[in-house]
Amino acid sequence: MKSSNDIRRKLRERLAADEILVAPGVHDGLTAKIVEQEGFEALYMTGYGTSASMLGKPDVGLLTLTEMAARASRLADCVDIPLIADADTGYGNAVNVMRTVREYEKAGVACIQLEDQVAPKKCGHMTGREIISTEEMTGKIKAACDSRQDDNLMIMARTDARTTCGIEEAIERGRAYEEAGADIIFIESPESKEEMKKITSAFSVPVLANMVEHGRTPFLNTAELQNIGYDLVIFPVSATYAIAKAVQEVMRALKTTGSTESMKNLMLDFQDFNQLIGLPVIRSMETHYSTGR
Amino acid sequence: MRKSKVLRDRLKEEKAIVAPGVYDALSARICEMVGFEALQHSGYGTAAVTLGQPDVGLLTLSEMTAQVRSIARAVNIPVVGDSDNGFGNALNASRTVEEYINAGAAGLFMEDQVAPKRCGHMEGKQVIPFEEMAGKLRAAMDTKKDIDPDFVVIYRTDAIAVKGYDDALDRAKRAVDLGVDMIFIEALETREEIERTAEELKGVPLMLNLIEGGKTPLIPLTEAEEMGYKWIVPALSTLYSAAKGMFDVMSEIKENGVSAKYMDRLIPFREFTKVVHLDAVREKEECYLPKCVIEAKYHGKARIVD
Repeated sequence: MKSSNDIRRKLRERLAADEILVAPGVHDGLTAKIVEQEGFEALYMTGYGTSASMLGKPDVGLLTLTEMAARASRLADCVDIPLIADADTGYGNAVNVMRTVREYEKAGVACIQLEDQVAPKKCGHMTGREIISTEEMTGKIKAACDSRQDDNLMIMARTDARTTCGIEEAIERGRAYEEAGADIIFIESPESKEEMKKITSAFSVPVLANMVEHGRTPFLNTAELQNIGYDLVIFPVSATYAIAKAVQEVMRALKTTGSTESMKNLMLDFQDFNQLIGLPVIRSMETHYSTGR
Repeated sequence: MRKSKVLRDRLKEEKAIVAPGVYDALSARICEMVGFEALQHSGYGTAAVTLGQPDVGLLTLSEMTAQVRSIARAVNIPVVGDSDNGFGNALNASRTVEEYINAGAAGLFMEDQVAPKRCGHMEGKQVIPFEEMAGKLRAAMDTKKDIDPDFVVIYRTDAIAVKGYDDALDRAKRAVDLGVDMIFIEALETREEIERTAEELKGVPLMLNLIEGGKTPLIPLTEAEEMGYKWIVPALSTLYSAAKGMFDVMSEIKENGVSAKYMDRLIPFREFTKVVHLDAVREKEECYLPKCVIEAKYHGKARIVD
């Protein structure tokens, strides 16, 4: 087990390297374990996936700070790689943001993501989003920076301005957020490669690309994104969508054929699953501490 | 009977209900023991006891729901939840109603403040347009219709400090037209406003919030009842008396140590067992534990605290 402080320092150092950092999105402990086991160096807690997993509802600002921080805490406990966590709008104004940063830091996240939407927020690839003023958002970013106790906790600022105000306004906001102290800039949903290039040349802090399958942004691979100049990329919903599809297919087979026999190739077996979620570690602890069982 | 039904039936009677504000299971239990027939959960008190912070919109729906659940579980009388502004827009308001019903509340009040909200007796309040609030109230009423039709929905307006009394009254009348069960005009500033509200909204169940040191004059409960107020809430008397009592006793202990000197200002060990129903635990043990376990535990003693 590594300490949260060490893990946070690792994220900062890793982002200083040339190679793009890939942080797949996760919504629960199981998906977090899989991402770590497949060798990724960081992971991303998606609010979109968490809303689906916790409430069975869409990502429209229904989750509370309490629920998101609790989930972030569980995820951070599951892995030894840095967790970048979605904190939506920070759940209120600058005063609420201060509380949110404290809760997320205690949860053990390495980076907290705050966006400039009006609360209650919506997924960045949906329509009907509204944004707060640049001035109000920079106040929230400053509040976030001032309330962290570990300087290595990174504050990521996301702007949702592209869709309603255009790319120039979005980049201008990003600059103001960098000026206010944001450690990472996330310009949500650019609509062309040209816009993406504009973004990556506009900031001196690391810049994040958001790859949502069938979203508003060109869907590029990590090498292409690195060439464009991105430092960090998230694939926030790939795990959630993959699980949705796999479970749907297996359940359909069970409903129609009365068995999952034909779907076994889509499922892990007992041994592999136990391995994945760390049963051997538990076994060795039982021996080590003589639990007598 | 479901507590929402108990409350809805009781609201049909002439007589007013004095519902003290409570902030946790213990304060609720004490008010029930004293003989109050219903309770009002206080967000102000919840912020103070769970965060040690003022009531400025820091609490989440999850935290408020947990407190409502804890209070409702501790007593056998109806509890109305303080749901702030419904924690967001109409969709969040709908989730709030669901959560409060599942937590065991008999009703809730929801206010028209901009999020994050603050205590109704503080400066710096802002309100949303009534059109938006109407959507939240409709969402609240539609949501409860399916899961608990007797659940009582109270509209609170904070408009007096922002837009003036007439606007607040107008909002209240429009909410009555929407079909809310009760009206709560927060922070009435004069006796005239208290009286006028009762006259203008005659026949509509009304809530009156009385806070020691707040903006509303502390009229006697009997006068409030005569005017026609139905749900009369001394919202913070529990919290403020607990705070003062603790200050006094702890100051005495800091200066002079533990002693019998301040016994009249606290409920000591033996009496406190009644507050938390210790005897009920013993009764359950008698009922469900093997005789030999009871004997091994108590050696013939009849009570947990003799």
